[in-house]
Amino acid sequence: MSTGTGRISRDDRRILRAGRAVLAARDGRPRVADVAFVVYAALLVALIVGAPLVRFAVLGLIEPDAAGVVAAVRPGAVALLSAIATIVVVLGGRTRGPVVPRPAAVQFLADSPLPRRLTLRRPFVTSALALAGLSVLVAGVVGLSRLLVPGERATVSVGVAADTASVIGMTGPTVPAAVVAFVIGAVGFSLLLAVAWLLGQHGSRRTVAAVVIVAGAGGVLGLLVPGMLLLSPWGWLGLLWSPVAGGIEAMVLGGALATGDWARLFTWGGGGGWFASVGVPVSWWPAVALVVLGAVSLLLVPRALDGLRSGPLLDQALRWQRVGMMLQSGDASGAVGGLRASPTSGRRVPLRMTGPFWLVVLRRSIVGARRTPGRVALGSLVLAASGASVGLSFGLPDGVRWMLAVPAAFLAYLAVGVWCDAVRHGVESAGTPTLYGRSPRSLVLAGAVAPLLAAVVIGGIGDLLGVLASAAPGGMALLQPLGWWPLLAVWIVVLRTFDAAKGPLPILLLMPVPTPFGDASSLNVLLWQSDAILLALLVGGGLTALAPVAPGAAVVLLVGVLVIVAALGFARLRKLSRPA
Amino acid sequence: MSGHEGESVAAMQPLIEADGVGAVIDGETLLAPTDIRVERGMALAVRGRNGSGKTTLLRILSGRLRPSSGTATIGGRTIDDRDRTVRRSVSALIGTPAYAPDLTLREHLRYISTTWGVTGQAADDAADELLVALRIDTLARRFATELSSGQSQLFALATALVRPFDVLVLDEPEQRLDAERRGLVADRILLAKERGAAIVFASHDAGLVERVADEAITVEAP
Repeated sequence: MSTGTGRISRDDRRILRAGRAVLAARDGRPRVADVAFVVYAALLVALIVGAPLVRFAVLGLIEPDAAGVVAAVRPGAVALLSAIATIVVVLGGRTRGPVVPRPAAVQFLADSPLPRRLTLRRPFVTSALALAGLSVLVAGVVGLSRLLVPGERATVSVGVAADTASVIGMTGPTVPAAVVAFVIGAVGFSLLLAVAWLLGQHGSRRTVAAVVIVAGAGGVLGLLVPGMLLLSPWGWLGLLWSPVAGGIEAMVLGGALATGDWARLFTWGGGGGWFASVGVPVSWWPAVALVVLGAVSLLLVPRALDGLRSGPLLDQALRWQRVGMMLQSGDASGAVGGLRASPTSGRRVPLRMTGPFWLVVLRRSIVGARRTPGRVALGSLVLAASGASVGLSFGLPDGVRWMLAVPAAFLAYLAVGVWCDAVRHGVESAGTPTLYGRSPRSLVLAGAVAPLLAAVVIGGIGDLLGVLASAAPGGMALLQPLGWWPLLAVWIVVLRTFDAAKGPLPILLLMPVPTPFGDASSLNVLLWQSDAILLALLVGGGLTALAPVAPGAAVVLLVGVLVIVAALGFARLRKLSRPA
Repeated sequence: MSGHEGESVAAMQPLIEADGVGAVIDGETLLAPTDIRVERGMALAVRGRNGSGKTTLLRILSGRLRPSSGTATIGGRTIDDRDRTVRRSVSALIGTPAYAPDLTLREHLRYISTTWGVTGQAADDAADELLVALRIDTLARRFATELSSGQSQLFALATALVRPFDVLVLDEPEQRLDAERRGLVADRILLAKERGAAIVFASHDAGLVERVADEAITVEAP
């Protein structure tokens, strides 16, 4: 038995095995046929869905327009993106950490006298492996596309701005070694991410704040001062990206070695053209450094696992079990609701309830937002980023605009949700005995004012910044994205209302749909659950990509679909309001 | 945006009447045909075992469920919660109300009053009076998610009582409450009776029924 010092004895392992056996027996051991079916289904999904998706992504990324955009991504931008990923996992740890066993496992194993570094190791390893797999997939797909990009591989001498020294650079497709180094580095970085995620779940607010500040500083400085890429894991990933991008961008260390001009590396902005024009062959040390740092960071894991508290562990386990059950039963809104932060502060903020009703509800939404500041700040940031992406997308070539427009529409849809509490509340009032002196329709319409204002104003500011930062010239090119965003904002809010009024999953959709590959009824459920998201992607993203080419048609189409979806949303609301 | 909900039936004959109302869903009988009649200023207790159909009867009386047989009326008007006048007249507590998670208890009560056109000081007074009467005034700044089960029940009752009504429908208002708090619930039902409301409530508490009901019916399991 454990001595309480954190050491794991042979007895501990024996007891854990026995405990897991009891839990497995309680759940009913899967039969060989069940396991075989799961393997068969997983293989089918990988072959029928996964492989074509990967192929589609690689082919999409080697299209000339897309390849140009990917090749233009600077190492600093990769450093910033990886730093943002670190911040997201650290902040997300409290909502969903890497260690989320089933509730029974928390009560039966984690709450036993066994050391938690032993009982909780398996869920952590599972999460870390999932992160590593995702990293390999993303780095592999992008890297593969850079290998297959059309063109002749050639080494060229690139002048180093005003300097006399030259270094060897490459154009066209990258070399396999660069992709291998990038993928290895991504795996090392995924280990760091997994540990950061665990710190987010376990660490104090001070620890979390420290990681956020360090990652944020590392990412931003890597973007602004090229030499800083040498000093942080986020920068190392950026350095590994550089030769993958095709050698058009710089490999900073190589440049420094070639010129001997180390001081310039630490110049704000990297000395202008110097940085942007240097290309050098693959260097392996950042990959090795990332793997070593990732492995060393794993030494923190046992202590962190021992430090996880039972209460929050069980809360997360129960919450995610509930979310999983709701998703399985088709209640996606309920599942998302289970993740929504409850207000705990700002209860003394005064709320005036005079004036027109829409103003009362608007004030209520604003006061409510102040009571979940973290959630609303994150939502508003994402909303601004969505607006910026739409603004930027108008300056991109036609073939690749969708790469920014589609994710922007999706993120805007997610972000506006934090302002939609009053809309959801209005919808919920439809199915219960009358409590409010306004119809559900009136409550929903008044509730929609806040998300509409937030989307137009906050997203509009982002849109403006994106337009100013893009390569688009002024005049009409400036007016188009600024005019398009408010329309897109209305569309997103209408979609949110449409989704809120969804109600319970129709039983009809659970009827078996026999196909040669098995029962396809789950596809019906999936489509029903994700109709609003699909509309956000296809209509919001698709028409945003179309807008600069055919603005009139895009506006007419969007308004037409918007009116239809709004009518369907209110029809859903009427149906919910009807007595059973 | 429309104004607050329609006219009251207070001016009409204040009477709940159900003749042979029953509920059958997909061949399953939820409520056997039942007759009730409640005058203004009267309280009717509905008793019966679990699963006998008490809640189904209350859902019909609040307009949330259409009866499969028989008729249910308020002041001669068919009960249907799509009818604004019916909505204006009937306040019901059946299950958990639709709370706004971002409002404190006091704000929530004020918000409900505001939707019924009661604003300013009158809304503040109505909220404060109920919070004190149900002894949850110390919880005024809490959010609904921060209450114990008993406190939640008292707050749910407050939400049903703060809005104007001619008919009050309550499903086991005493549940999860201690003896002292059950007394507070009885006081509020008696006050509503004094003010002329017609009340129908389901209860398993013989003391509560004894104290406030003018009449009681027992619903038999179908």
